[in-house]
Amino acid sequence: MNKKMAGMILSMLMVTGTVMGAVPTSAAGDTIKIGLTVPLSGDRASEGSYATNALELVVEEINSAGGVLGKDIEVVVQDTTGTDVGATNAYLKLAADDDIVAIIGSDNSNDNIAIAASAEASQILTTTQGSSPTLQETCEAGEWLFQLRACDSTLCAALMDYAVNEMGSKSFTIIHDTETASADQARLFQEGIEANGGTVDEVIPFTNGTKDFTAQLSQAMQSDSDALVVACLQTEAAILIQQAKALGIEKPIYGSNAFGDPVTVDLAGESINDAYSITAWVPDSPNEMGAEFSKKYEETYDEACAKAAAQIRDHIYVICEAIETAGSTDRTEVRDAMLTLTNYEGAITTYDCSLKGNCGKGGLIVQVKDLIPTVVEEITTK
Amino acid sequence: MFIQLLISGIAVGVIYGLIAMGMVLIFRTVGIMNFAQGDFLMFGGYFAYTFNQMFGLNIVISLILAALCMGVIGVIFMRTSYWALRKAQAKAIIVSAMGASIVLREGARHIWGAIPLTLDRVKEGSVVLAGATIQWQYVAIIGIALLMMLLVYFLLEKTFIGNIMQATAQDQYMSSLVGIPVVVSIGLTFALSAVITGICGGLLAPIFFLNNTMGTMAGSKAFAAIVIGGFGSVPGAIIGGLIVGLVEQFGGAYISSTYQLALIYIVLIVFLMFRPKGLFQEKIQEKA
Repeated sequence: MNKKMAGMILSMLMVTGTVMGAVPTSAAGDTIKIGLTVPLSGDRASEGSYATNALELVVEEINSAGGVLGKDIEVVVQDTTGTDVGATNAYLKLAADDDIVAIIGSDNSNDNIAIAASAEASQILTTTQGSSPTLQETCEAGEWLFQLRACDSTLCAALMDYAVNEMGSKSFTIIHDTETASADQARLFQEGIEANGGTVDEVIPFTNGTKDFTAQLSQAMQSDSDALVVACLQTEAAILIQQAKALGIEKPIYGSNAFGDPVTVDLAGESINDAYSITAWVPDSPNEMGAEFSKKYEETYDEACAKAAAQIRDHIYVICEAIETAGSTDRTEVRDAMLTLTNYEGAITTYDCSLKGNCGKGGLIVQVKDLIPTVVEEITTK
Repeated sequence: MFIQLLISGIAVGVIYGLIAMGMVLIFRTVGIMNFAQGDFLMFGGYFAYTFNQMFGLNIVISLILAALCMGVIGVIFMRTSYWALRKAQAKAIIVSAMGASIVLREGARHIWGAIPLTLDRVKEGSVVLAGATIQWQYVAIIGIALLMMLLVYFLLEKTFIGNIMQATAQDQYMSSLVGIPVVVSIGLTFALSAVITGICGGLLAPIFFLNNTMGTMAGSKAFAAIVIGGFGSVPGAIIGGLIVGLVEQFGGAYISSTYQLALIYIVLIVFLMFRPKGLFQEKIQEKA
């Protein structure tokens, strides 16, 4: 082959490559991408397990029904590693992808507060699963963050109202994790107790990761309270309630949403019977759509549908509704469309996204009976 | 409340002490602190879960089988994380152990999943002792821990294999010169360390539940126990563990429940300032 021929072939190859590169890849053009940050490793990896299970079901559901704007959706997952630094890194990776239309934040209020500034800077619609009042304020102050959850300020107050006025408990000892969301819940429980004329005898904090609660429970036993109130995450809730029963503590226990979670119930066993919880979700959901999703989840994965799974379902559907309403995948248009969703019915509750914070309209007071979290009262936020 | 805290402190303290003893055995033999020791605890717990919950075996048999599996894990750990680097700088071996720790943690998550698990207790229920309600599992932990300490003492002091292990710990080169198979001896040490710690994992799992990060905090408390007890001292590791357990319980109840964990490390700092060699100075002389 002479030099002239070689040069021609090389030129043809270069031109062909340029033309090929200019054609958009079919994968990027045919799907709508939504980002999701969840802990897939670390202490809270169970949340990630439920979330990834749920998104497989939901994505299949939506795509088999025709997708969104005629395209399939794809959820891109990044691991937060269960820390706020990891959450920020995961968020930034997703936000840097121009094909991603919206991002779902994790279930930890701390993580979501950490990504708030990034959400505003990136100008990408971000839905958060956390329930703390601090997160509510952060969402309401910003333009791009939406708290798709009923806030703890309403729910904790409702549980304490129930404890004092329905169950007759007047004095309480509060035990709580020092991580932000649990500490917020403890403060709200205290405010709720005092607002209803009850008294708080003692507040006993413990560091996140504590495994033996003998010291805390021994202190609680010294006080003569009518009831215990506990705010913490699932594993700690199960350990604490088992140890409380082993120590002979029989007074009523009112807990944060962890106490109604299937993970906690499975771990704690019979110790958790009769405990009360304030939560957004139970597997035996009174919501028709929720019951249907819960049944499908259980049939597919042979485990009860936890809140972490149901939340992902609702977040994906709400975002898809916003995209359909916008008629576009432009991030600003999708955010604007989100603000118009004032009465969207999900599997957990109804959402009013115009509020940005505290968008979920309801919660549940549950009592665990025969290892089943059973709804005793449904709450509607004002 | 005092008896409650005392029993609870002793129960968790002996666990920390046994984990620390496992670390000391390795330290005495190869001169390196094993930062994956906490993950042996976690892995042992998962093995016990597998035999007890997945295969339906009795918990005691499950603990024994888990111990055997951990012995194998200990040998594999030695061959993969230490042996190839035995002539390298200590830093390289430490980093290798830290990497192995991550592999064990993430491997456990992939094998057994991310959702916390539990298994049967040795004995359900509680017993009332001097007005305090003590879980039978805590009593079992103390009993089994004492038994393991006796067995380890008997092994190291009264058996030929134990003498070989101690000789290797004192001087690998001289041991090889007199015909002791050093690689076998080191492998046995790692295996024994993994067995002790793995059984602790199986005992703790019904109380603290299993997840892939359960060993991290326990490992760091065991390290504190070693510093307090004295590097290289087996009795020191046990006593150090008991001190850590009791400080955790009594400090949490009488000083601050918020800073319960911080109190342990404050005690550690005090020891480093005023008695850096720990309660029991190292018996083995430094090599010339």
